[in-house]
Order: sequence, then C-alpha cells, then structure tokens
Amino acid sequence: MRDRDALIERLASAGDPLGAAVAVLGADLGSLLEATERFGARPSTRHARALVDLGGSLAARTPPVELVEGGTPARSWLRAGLLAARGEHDAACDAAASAAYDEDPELRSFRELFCARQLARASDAATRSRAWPHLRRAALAAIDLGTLLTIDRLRGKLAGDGQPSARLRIRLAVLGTPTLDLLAPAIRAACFGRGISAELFVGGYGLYQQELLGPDPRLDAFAPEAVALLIDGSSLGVADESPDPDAVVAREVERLGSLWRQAQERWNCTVFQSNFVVPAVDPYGGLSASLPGGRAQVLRRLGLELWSAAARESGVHIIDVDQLASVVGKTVWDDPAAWHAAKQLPGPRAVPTLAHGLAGMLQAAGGLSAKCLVVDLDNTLWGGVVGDDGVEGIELGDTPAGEAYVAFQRYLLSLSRRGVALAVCSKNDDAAARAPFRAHPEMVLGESDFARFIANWEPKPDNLRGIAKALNIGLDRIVFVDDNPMERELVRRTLPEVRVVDLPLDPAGFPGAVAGTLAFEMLALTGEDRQRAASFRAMGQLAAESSASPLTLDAFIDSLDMTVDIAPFREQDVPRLHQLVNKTNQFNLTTTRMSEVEVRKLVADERFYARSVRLRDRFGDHGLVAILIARHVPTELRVEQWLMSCRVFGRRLEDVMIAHAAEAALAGGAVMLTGVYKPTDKNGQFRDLYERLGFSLAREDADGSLLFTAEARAIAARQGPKVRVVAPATR
Amino acid sequence: MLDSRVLRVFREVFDDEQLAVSDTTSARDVPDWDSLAQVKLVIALEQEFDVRFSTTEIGTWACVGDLKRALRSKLGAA
Repeated sequence: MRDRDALIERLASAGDPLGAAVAVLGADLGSLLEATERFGARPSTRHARALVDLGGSLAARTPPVELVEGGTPARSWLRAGLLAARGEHDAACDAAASAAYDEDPELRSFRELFCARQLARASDAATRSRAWPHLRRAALAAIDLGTLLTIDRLRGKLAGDGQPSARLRIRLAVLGTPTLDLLAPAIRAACFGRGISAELFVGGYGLYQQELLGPDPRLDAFAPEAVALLIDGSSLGVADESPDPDAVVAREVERLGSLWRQAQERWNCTVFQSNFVVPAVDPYGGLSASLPGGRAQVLRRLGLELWSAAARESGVHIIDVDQLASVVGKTVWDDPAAWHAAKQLPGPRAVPTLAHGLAGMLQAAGGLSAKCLVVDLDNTLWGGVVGDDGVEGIELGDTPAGEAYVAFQRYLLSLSRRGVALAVCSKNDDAAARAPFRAHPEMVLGESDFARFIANWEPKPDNLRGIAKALNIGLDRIVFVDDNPMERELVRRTLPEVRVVDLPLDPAGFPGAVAGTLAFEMLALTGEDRQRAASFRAMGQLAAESSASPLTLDAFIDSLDMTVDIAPFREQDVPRLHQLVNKTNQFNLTTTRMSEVEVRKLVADERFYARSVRLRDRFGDHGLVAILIARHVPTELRVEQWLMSCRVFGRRLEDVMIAHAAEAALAGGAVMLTGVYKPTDKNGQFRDLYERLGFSLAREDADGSLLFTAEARAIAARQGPKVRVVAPATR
Repeated sequence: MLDSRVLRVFREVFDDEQLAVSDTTSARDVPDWDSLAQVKLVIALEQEFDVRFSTTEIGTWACVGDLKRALRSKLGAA
C-alpha cells in the first residue's frame, strides 16, 4: 500500500503507460481503476490502446473482474478491452462507443476500427453486418497507413456480410515509378470510406511506360476505367542545372501527353496524372529555384505546363501531389529510409494523404461531391449561446476565438460562392437564432446566404431529412457541422449517409476540418456550379412556399416568372452537357452515360433533335439544367435521352420540353412521338412521367424498359405552365 | 508484455492469427516476409511503440530477437 500512490503517479505520468500498468497489475484492482481515472476524460490514442491491452489482461484474473459501465472514457476503454478478451464483442463495441470523444481523427479512427473488429468477430452475420458503418467511418478518419491497411483487410474479410451497396464502382489502374503495393490498399480503403468500390490494378515498379505503350494483356483484360499515373520527379532525369530548360519542359509535356492519349485510346479511360514535388533537399539549395535551369524551377514550370496540357484534353486531371506533399510536409513525403529500403514513395506516413486525395478526386469525377453544408449556430458560427447570452454576449470578432469564428464564416461564404448550398440546423428559437444575423456587426454571413434556415427543437436528423427533401438532394450529399459531439453521434447513427465533420475543439481549426473531408472537391467549375447556391436558395424558398399552400401549386409555378431557353447543343456548352449527362440520376429516363467526345458529336448532327434547356426565374438564373435528345426517324421522333437537374424539379419544366419536342416532330414531318423509360435504383419517381404527360404504354421489355407513344399533335396542344419560351421550334 | 505486443504486430502485418514467431525467426522462415512486408512491419512497430527506426537499424535485423533488442534499447532510453 505504501507504493500505491507512487504507482498511480507513475502510471498517470508515464511515457509508456502500458509498461507502468504492468507494474500496477501486481497491485490491487482498486489502485488500477483509480489509476485509469488519472488518464482523464480525454485519453490519447496511445492511452486508449494501452487501456484496451490492460483490460484484456484483466480477463485472465481470478476471481473474474467486473467493471461497471460509465465512468471516464479511460474506464470505458478498460472495460472494452476486458469484454473483447472475453469474446463479448457486441458489449465491447458498446463500451468503446461510450468512450466517445471524436475531436481527434486518430482516436476516432481507432475507436471506429475497434468497434468494427469486434462486430466482425461475432458469429452471426447480422451482427457482423453492423461492422460496416464503423469500418466506413474508420476509413474516413484514418490518418495513418497501418490503420488504412487494416481497414482494407477487414473490408475484404467482411465482404458479403450485408455489405452496403457502393455509390460508385470503378476499375482503377495505379501505374508509376515507385513501389505502389502499399499505396494500393490505402487507396482502396480511402475509396471505401467514401462509398466507392475500387477494383485496383497495381503497376510494377518503374514499369508505367511499358504497361501503357506495350501490349499488356493483363492490363487489357482489366480494362481500367481510370488510370492514375504517379510519376516521381526524380525519375525524369532532370539535371541539377539544365542547359536548355525550355526543351526539357516541352519534351516532358509532350511525352506525358502522348501517354494520356495512348491510355484513352486503349481503354477510353479517365487519366489522373500526378505533378511533381520539388524536393526538400537539393544540392543547389535555394539556387535550384532561382536559376532558370535549376531543378526546382524546371519542375515548377513543368507542373504549370501540365495543368495547361490537361485543360486542353478531356478526361485528364492533375493530382496535385506538390500541394499534398506541402500539406503533409515534404520531409514526411520524401522519406529516404523508406525509399532506400523498398523504393517506397511517398513515405509511409504520407501515403494516407495521397490515398485520401486520390479518393477525393475519384469521388468528384464520379459526380458524388457533396452539395450542401448544414451548420449549427451556437459555438459553431459564433462563440456562446445566443439564446442565453444575447446578441451582445456572443463571441464574434475582437477576441482570438471571436476572430476564428469570423474566419470560419468567411470560409463558408466562399464555399457558397462556388456553388455549395448552406443551411442552418440549430436547436434554438427561430427569433433568437436570427437575431445575430440582423444585429451583430461582425457577422459575415447573412440569412439570405442560406438555402434553408431551420431553428427549432426537433431532433436534428429529422431536420436534416427535411433539408435534403426541400433541396431535392440525397442525404449522402450533405455535410454536417456541429460543435456538439452528441448531436454528431446521433446523426452518425441515424443517418449514416450524412458526412459528419469531426470538428476540433478550437474554432481556429473549423475551416481545416471541413476542407479535410474533401467532400466539396470538384474537378471543374462550370457557370452552373457557380449559380447553384442561388438555385438552392430558390428551392429552399420554393419548398417553404409550396408547403404553405399546396393547393395553389400551379398558381405558384405560374408566379415564378420562368424564362425557358431551349437551344440546340452548342460547342461552348459541351462541358456542362457532359457533366449533366453523367451526374444526373433521378430525372434521367434512360441513364445513358456519354463521353465528352460523344456529346460533342451531337453538336450540329442533323439526325438528332438534341436540345439543352436553360432556366431563369424570379429567384435568379439556374443555368443549363435539362437535356432532351431525340432521333428523327421516318414519321416518328424517338426520345432516347431525357434528363433534368434535381434543382428544378416540380416546376412542370418537363411539360414545356415535351411540347417543344412535339412541335419539332411536327415540323419535321413526324406524326408520332415515342419515349423510353429504363428503371434504375434512382429514377423510380419518374416511371409514370410519360403517362402523366399524355403518352400511352406501348410495350414492356423483359429488362423492365417501358416504351411509350403519343401523337405529336396531341402533345403539342397540351396546356403547359405559364412560361416565356425563347427558342425556335425547328429541327 | 513486449513479446505479446510484437507478436500481435506480426500477426496483424502478415494477416495470420496463428502465426508464431520466436527470437530466432528470420525473414526466411515467413513466406510473405519481403521488403514490402518489412516496411509494413517497421510502420506497425513504430506506431505500436511510438518509436522511430533508422535505415541502419532496419538493415541489421537478422531475426526477431534483433528487432526486440532494438526495441528494448529504444524504450529503455525513452
């Protein structure tokens, strides 16, 4: 007993708590439990790991040790370890979950992975299937390679046990100069976290040119849909000082460009090309950047030229590894020990950064970027609780924390200006919640910057569902930002599709935490993207108004003062048309995807009635929002593709479009108008669209496709909503 | 305790819950122990014990016993 205080002190302050705990294990259990409390309410990942081990070693004790629920997170971890060692997997998962505190991504991924592993060990498939959401969140939070590798293995073992369906499946070939075997499973895990099921082809060390240029039967059989080319700057043979830097840059841009074209010709794939990391260590030091022929200057120029070259091609995107390396630190990125031991690049500690970065790009390329950021108010947009402290009492501006909240608001405002919809979801009285927006001089955001402003006392998951419905987006397009860990946990559990940001305690870290999700990453920005926030605000208002008086919806639509611009496909619209064709899932009657080249072929193709639709209304310009492609055949105009952005549903724009097509059919000498509906998981709500528009079902195919027909004259004569149409009704 | 933690790391890295290693086990005895596995092993040990190994240290490990000696000297020094 004399040693007890000394032992507790040693355990609490130990650099190696596990080693100290071993000593304590010889002492009585009471000391041990008291000692664990000294780890405090916020154990680090190392402490959590040690506590789990310690709990595990308690399992062998006689008489059996019982730990009651509750207490500090440290106690919960100890209990989780004990239960895990006894094979009580479900209870161990619950114990770890009750140690919740998720501000630290490392601890968060450790906790989620612990839960996933426990559930995965259960004997029944139903319990095992509950491991998936934990595993997915572990992958999203994982910042170290070991965790990502473990997640990938566990994912493989669990496969089949109630695995949720992927948002996107992609065959990705990872080719390049370094050893890629560590990177590949990390990419797979990072993709998995984002709902992307990536099947990988891993290239050989330094073999990317042979693989791309020579006939490679394995790669041909794999038929990649995307190719990531990870080429290390040191492999280019750029000299310390190049005598003719212009020639070096031109040569490399030409060489890489021909590799991209080769890949696209062979597999019709998207190409992701890495740029080059300027080395942290160079024999010329600062001269390397200042001399025209210095390696650093040549690599930087080459990097810029690559962006331009990629912009000239379609379907080529640059992986900005120079930026990724800067963010993680070039001395971490470039780990000479790992390079000399295994030709590993980036260094093992930087691999997760690259894996997440690439997964974020694949998510963007697949059209899966988030669209709306839902934000809490108190202690999120400002410090303090406005309902208690009053407008004057909240912390905004002036103090360091107050400045941090202002900076976060600025960040959100910029996000909205590039097309991210903002929404408020706050537990507050509506008047109190709005007061700072109206009266506080330091507020950056205004009420009008939000598509939805929900301040009430309903459960937040219900409000989030309401926001998704009003904006007509999936829950998987929502990012949720709230300082309250309990609200975050509630949303995680009830709405696993929503991306919940692990907000740090310090508001200075809020913008970084949102950016770190990569949820809003995009590969291109069209005019429509820039307009989108305004469209979402209009939709939010539309939802509010139409729910207020549902009987007068038609009157409301008429009051929108819509101007519809129906135009043939134009060259300058091709990027947006391509984006719309490949991103639209709900109002997409045949879900036929097209490459940019295929879209471009429809510009001025006389055999087709291919029309894009732009919409303006009293809320603003929604940009190019709908497409209808129909083929002229004798006596008939056959609608082969019809799709509309979800932003403009519910305005009877479809009535306007089909009437226009009918007039074009008549003008072209056709009598009938036909249309096809092919069912998918997403487009069920438009199954009866043609019938609602006056078509009759003519045929149902074995694959569920429905063929509808109507007389063009009847469709053209139907009463549509009151709109101004600016378009010639010709072929 | 160190032994059991090292064993756990090996089982994790080689994805084999039944894997047994002794101090005399070397890369020749474990079929999948190649240079890549070596990197994984180093990462996992560094994470588990919160230490860093140098290229020289990694190059001199002939067997698991060497690896544990290197670990002990680091942990003792900490």
